[in-house]
Amino acid sequence: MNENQVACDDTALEQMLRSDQSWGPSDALLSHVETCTRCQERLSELAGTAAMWHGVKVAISEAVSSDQQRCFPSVNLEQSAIHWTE
Amino acid sequence: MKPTHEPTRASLILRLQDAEDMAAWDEFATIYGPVVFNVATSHGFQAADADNLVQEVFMAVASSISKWLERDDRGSFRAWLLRIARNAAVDMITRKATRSLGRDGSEAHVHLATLPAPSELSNALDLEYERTVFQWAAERVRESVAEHTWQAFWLTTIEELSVQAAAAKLNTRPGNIYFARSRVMARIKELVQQYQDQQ
Repeated sequence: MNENQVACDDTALEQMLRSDQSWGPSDALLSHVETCTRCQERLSELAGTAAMWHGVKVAISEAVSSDQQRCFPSVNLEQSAIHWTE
Repeated sequence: MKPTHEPTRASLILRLQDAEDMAAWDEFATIYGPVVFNVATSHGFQAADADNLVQEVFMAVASSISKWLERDDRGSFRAWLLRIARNAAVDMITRKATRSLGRDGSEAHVHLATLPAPSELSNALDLEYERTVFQWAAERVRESVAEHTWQAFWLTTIEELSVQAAAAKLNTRPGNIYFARSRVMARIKELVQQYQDQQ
């Protein structure tokens, strides 16, 4: 069974979206999503509509450019190694 | 880490009947204060006047929300708030102009003529409301998720980096970026829907 057959599953994607972050996606699911355009798009769709992605982007960008910068501090990429399995 | 699940916004509005419920009023002020303020300033109010308008709207809500909740035909909270805000704006403009100038009220008439029509004001309020709720929800999610989860969302959504580039910057595999950025948006959506459910 290849990775596409294993992981091309909206329910599995949705479960991962709703899951506790301490439970990270399996290597097989990560590998699948990295190569499956459909699942990449489905993840975005399940998370929010295109209008919502756009609206949130615009709202945050406006907040950043206004005096609300304190709410969204800039990303610090100089920090130490990031652990993805908390 | 799971996001904190807030009480529904419908229950928030019910709680506003209690003037001593500071948590409910704080949350209400966080969302609706900027909405009223920004709509007012975008329609010509000075910041100080807009601040006063916000206070008048809040006082009007506090004094009449119980009666509004008892009405069978009350409609949406946002429509009610819009009526309160517009009435308060008209009152403020009239008082100010009457005090400063017009024996004949001519100045007040000029300013009132520039006040947008209810439909235009409603559109402005809707847009401002959506933007404010998005910002509020994003900030809450920002506080509740791990830093790298937020960064995955930020880099790919706000800074528009590719997933591959974000993965390289965050020293992780692209699959983690796909999931992390969507988790953030899913949680923002959850919070936003709590507000939309009671409109």
